[in-house]
Amino acid sequence: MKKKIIWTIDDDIIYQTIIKKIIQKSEMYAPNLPFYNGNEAITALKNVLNTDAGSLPDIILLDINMPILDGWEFIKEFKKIKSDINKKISIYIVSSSIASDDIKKAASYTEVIKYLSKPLSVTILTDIASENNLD
Amino acid sequence: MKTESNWIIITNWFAVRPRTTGFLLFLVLSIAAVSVSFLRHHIEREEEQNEMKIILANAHQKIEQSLKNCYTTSISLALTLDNNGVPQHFDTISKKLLKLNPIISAVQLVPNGVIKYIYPLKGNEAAMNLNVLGYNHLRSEAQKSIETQKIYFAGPLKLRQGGIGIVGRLPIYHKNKFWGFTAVIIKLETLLKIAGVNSPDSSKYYFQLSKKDAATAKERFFLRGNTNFSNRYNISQAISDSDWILYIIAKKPFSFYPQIVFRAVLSLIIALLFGIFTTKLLRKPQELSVLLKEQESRLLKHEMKFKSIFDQATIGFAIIDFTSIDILEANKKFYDILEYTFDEIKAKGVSNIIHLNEVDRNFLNTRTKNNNTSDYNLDKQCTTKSGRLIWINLSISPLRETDEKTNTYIVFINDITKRKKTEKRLNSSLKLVTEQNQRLLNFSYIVSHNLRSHTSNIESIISLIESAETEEERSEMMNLLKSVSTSLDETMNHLNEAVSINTNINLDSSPLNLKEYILKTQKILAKQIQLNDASLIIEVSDDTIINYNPGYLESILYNLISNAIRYKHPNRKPIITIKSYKEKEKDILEIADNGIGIDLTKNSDKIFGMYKTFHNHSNTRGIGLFITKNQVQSMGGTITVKSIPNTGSTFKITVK
Repeated sequence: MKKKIIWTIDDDIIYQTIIKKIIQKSEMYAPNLPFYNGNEAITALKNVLNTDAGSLPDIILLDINMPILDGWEFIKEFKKIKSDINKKISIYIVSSSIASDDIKKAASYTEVIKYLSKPLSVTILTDIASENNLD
Repeated sequence: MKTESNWIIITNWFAVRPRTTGFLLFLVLSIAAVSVSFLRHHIEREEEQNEMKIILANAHQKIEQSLKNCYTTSISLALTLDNNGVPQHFDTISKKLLKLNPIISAVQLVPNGVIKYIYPLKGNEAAMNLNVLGYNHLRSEAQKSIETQKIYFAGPLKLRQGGIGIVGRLPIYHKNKFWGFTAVIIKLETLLKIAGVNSPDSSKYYFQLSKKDAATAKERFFLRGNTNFSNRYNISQAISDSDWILYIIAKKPFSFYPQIVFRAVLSLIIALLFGIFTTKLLRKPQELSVLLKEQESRLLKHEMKFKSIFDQATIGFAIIDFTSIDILEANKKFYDILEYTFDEIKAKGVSNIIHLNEVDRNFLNTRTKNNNTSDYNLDKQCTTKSGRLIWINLSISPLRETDEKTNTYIVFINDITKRKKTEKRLNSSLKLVTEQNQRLLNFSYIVSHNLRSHTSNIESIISLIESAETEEERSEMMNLLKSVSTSLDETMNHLNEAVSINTNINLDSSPLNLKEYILKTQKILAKQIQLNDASLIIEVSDDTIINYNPGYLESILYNLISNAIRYKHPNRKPIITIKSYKEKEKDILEIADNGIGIDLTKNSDKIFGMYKTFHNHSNTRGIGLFITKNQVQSMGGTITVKSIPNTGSTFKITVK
């Protein structure tokens, strides 16, 4: 089975370190690409779309609170280029926030598959991978 | 003048004594009326008597005239006798005479008292050969004419030939010797007809003809009608060449005149009515004046009541003419509230004092036009005479005294300064509570989010440690755990700082020289300023003093200035301008930079939030502006930001 391409967008360096480890352990994914804010990720996305469409991510783990371009703004930008992307990209919101406002807001975006509350575990990542295999 | 005043005195005397005046009037009127009715009656009687005299004289004259004519006829008849005492052409002459004197029904020649010649004979045959002197009842009267040697009218008597008549006999002497009589016979009816005796105004009076009987000296009456009229008014006249007396008699009795009584009574009643009416009339003003006095006192009472309500009211009211906006009247409270007197308000203009501007007036005019009578309520701030600034609640409504178009308004004013102050306090405390609540919410969010990010990291690390397969991996995780612990500590410190700001409600403030503090901050940041080649332009006067907590002022200045240096534009040297000025009587501190700026269209709601960073800067903590905002707010001020990306940002702090 082909390993899934996963991108992690979060400004927390410690989290990035941890998630890298977890992704590694789950053995379902190719090594993740870390981005420290939405802007970095959207730039990279546009880049990849033009140069190497094959390396577009299957799954994006997106934080909400980030400098420059936060999670919501990233989704807005993502929507703009969505029609150009010839691949299903599943976006998961991953936040330490358990505020109901954030959860509700996440549900309002059709691009968002699920709202995941930190911490993530190997199991969760495995589940995500298998969810995305089904279709 | 004097008579006039006397007249007034007299008039008043009567006016205040309606009963006496009425009685006096009755008395005067009744005397006058009774006298007048008697006088009138008297005149009427006199008139009647005069009329009767004239009628009587007229009738008398006519009878006398007729009798005189008969005398002429008798003499003419005597002339028919010839020298031998034998009548010649008796019939021819008689016929002519009768034609000349038609009242005579027949003529006779009576030689030696025996009727021998009659004209016309026809109808008078019964009288032929009657010896006048042979009958007692005829002889005495016939002899009367012989005695007087004049014509004498006998009768009235029943004629042998029928009817009642009178006979005028003239004695004739032939050769100084009594020859006989010439006689004229007149029907009584004819004589009376000529005299008009039969047809006087029968409603008022009637005639009577009488003759005294020579033998009995008793008066005999010959006409129909009452013969006993001694109790009635009558006048009489004797007729010559006879013993007749012609009377004219009033039909109504002499003494009894119900008319007078009726008139007198009627006059008395009228006088009485006049008296009563006058009494009533004169009483009316008295009653009215009593009523008026009652009303007056009632009105006065009401007015006093209203006046005292008006004056003692705890609300000030004034009546205003709305075309000229002139005060017409106001109560004591109105002056008390505004501290102006009536004249001062009039001089200054009421609209200038209670600030009725054009908008209000137009509004009121429109409402009045639309017949909207509800009051117009508004709060105004105005200055009293002593310069005190007060709040008044103004309520204006059109004053309708009549149905006419209203032009006056009643204005109620109420001093609501205290209420306004309380309201303001309440509002500010509500604002404070809302703010605090907002901060609390924010804080709870921070706790839930920022702390959780650490705990979730810890959780993940621990599970990774547990599942670690190599020692190296484990020690890597331990290091990671250490850094989590450090940042958790940092977060805890920040939270502590935020909590301490928010819990310090009563912070000590003291007058601080703003410039001194700016210079102090400049000193602290000297190294950064030097490293970044930044320049500070301080446009703050040396004597600007603000009331602030010293620690907070230091912290605010440090955060804002250091931010300005940190977010410098990569292509230019940072220039930071610090200004202070007054705006709406409040001190403003402004810190402007020429840095990279912030896109506020994206970030306006989170710029002052905790852990909100906008730049991927290595030393961004996302806590500075959060702390700054909390400090400014806890000092009762506000902080706002204006920024253009790539041009710079300006932070404006309002000092309470």
